[in-house]
Amino acid sequence: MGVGDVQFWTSPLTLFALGGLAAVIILAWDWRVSLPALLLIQVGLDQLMVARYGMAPAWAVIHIFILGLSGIILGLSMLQIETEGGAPHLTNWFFRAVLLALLGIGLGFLDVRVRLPLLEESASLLVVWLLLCGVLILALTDRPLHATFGLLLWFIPVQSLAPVILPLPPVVAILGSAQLLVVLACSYLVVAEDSVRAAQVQPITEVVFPVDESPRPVRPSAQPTLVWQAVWARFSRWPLPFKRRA
Amino acid sequence: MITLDLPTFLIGSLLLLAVLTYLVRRWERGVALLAAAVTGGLGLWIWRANLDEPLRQLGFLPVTVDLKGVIQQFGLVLQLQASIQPVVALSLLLAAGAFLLAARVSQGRSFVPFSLGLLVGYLVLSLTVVAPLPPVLMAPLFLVALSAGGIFILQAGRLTATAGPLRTLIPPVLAFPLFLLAAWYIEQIPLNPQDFGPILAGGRLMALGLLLVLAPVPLHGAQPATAQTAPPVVTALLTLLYQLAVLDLLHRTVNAYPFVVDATPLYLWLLGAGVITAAWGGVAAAGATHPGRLWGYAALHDWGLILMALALPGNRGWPLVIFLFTLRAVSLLTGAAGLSQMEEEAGTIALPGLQGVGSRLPWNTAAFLLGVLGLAGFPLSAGFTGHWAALQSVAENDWRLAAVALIASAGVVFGAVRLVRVFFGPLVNRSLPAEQPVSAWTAILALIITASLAVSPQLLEGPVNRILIAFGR
Repeated sequence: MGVGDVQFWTSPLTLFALGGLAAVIILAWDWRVSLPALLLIQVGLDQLMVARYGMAPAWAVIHIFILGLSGIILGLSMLQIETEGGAPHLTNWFFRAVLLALLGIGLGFLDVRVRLPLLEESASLLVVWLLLCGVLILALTDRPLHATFGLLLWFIPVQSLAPVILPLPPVVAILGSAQLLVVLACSYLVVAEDSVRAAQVQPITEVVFPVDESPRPVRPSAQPTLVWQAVWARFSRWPLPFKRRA
Repeated sequence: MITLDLPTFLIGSLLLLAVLTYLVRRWERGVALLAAAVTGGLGLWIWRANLDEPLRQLGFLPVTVDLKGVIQQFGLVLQLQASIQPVVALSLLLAAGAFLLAARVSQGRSFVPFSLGLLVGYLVLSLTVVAPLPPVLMAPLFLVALSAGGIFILQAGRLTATAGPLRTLIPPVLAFPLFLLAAWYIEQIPLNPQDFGPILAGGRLMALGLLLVLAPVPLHGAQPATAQTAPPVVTALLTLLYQLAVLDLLHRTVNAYPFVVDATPLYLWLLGAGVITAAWGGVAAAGATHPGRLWGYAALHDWGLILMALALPGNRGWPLVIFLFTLRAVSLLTGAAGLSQMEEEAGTIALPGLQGVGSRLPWNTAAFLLGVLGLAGFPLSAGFTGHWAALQSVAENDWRLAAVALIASAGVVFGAVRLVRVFFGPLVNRSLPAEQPVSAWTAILALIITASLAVSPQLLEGPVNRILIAFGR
């Protein structure tokens, strides 16, 4: 079963892999991973629509062209800024993994049976999963770069689905133009945001969890004075010293 | 004699003006005044236009405009219809008001040309009568593009936080796929009229989409965040244009597809979303210490009340909504007039820089505060009569909801009173210049308009009735 076969693109393993790519975007939280993953999702979904639901292959080429253009626009913005777009944010990979697990378990436990028009249940579930991953990204960040990935995860399934349920060229053209405009606006914000990240002050009415990174004062009584206290202090922080050394 | 169709004339002239103003954008004041004159003139002309006599000559020019003329481009058919005539005129007049304020205080060199481009986009949205899909179902996709375009003037090249402009994208982006899916279900209805399934599915999708695009809490983030960081006049203009388009979309959807209301609890959703939005706006305003953010939360509270009014049963809802929206526009632009001048003089709209600003800029400070209080429906402010009427109507159905909205408005007033103490306290920035006569007179004019509407709300009776007739209500 090769990539040219209908069975390959409609097999549960392929659908699972496409859903997994969306999870990878959230876990990695790095634009170098996200852009190729988005492209793979677009290619996979388009191939699924072409192979199983009769979408014209020309649409797939156009979708990939639009996403490629979006990637170039975002990439150019990333090259212009000095700091990395994935720099400090409010969540770590473990927290995001827990959220993804909760999302997956929720979908499983609630036995969500969404049937999108003309799609089979497995394909519908994949589309819903991608859309939910997009919403999760939007909920986790206020940064334009990652929010763009969330918005693109919302656009990609719709782009692939639109020619199947509404095979009208103007609709697909307007959809593609809207996607490019959104990416252009977000890439402008990526550049605008970079210069101020260091000086940014979170408004006090927002729910934020500021991290105090200044060195904490040590109480005089807590400082080790005897040899055994120093040894105990060192081992009580295990495995931190060894990790640091590594 | 040249005859032009109205959409061609309107869009062509505004695009031409956008290009012209972009080329000479260095002369900001002149450019803003020119744009205000043109958009204001066009707005009044369309407001007064009688569609029963479609051919109108343009002054002494050898040009005749066909008011009922149609243009067809890119699969779209554009025409001015009586039902959207007030929306088109109001959009133009809102832009004219914003340009007048921008002539006083710069809102960024690209503000006028970009706003004119966006205005053309909103006019195309209103004028579209035929599209590849029914116009109502295509509208959210247009709103995505317009919100994306608006980001450039909201950020205005400022090195400030980008959260506000970014958040403006989220509601329309979340909503548009629901309308596309609904389009498929609507196409299925004629194939089997006895099957209630597609009607139910299409209705639910559109109702949910409408709720998303109305941006109630928790999708409200754009309003306070843009009010905090974006130029005030830009914030006011884009908020009003978007919300006017969304209200028009809701009205057209309910008229074109009555099953959206019949098959779904849309009005119940609107009521719930409205109460939560109004309550959260008030609570957050009470805790906000940033003047721009307080202004944004006050606007959010007011928007919540408009959503509650939309949910009123029978024919009472729309007159109130139109009345409230008109007063909202006056209050927002009055607040923007004051805040933009304060920002211009103090260099910031953060509180430490504005301490004691009332002693140097009394009229503009008063304009800002009256704008905020108008959004809370405080007595003797523009919003008072609208809020009072809306609360009374809501209380007739459930007094507890009206009480929640009333208590929330007290939160906005509390926040405003705290600002009064800071603004009129001891002056910290002694280098702050005194108010210039032009600036003071503009603020006084805004205050007079606000106060006039507060004491004589019947001044709005004619325009509101005109809109209601056009809406067929």
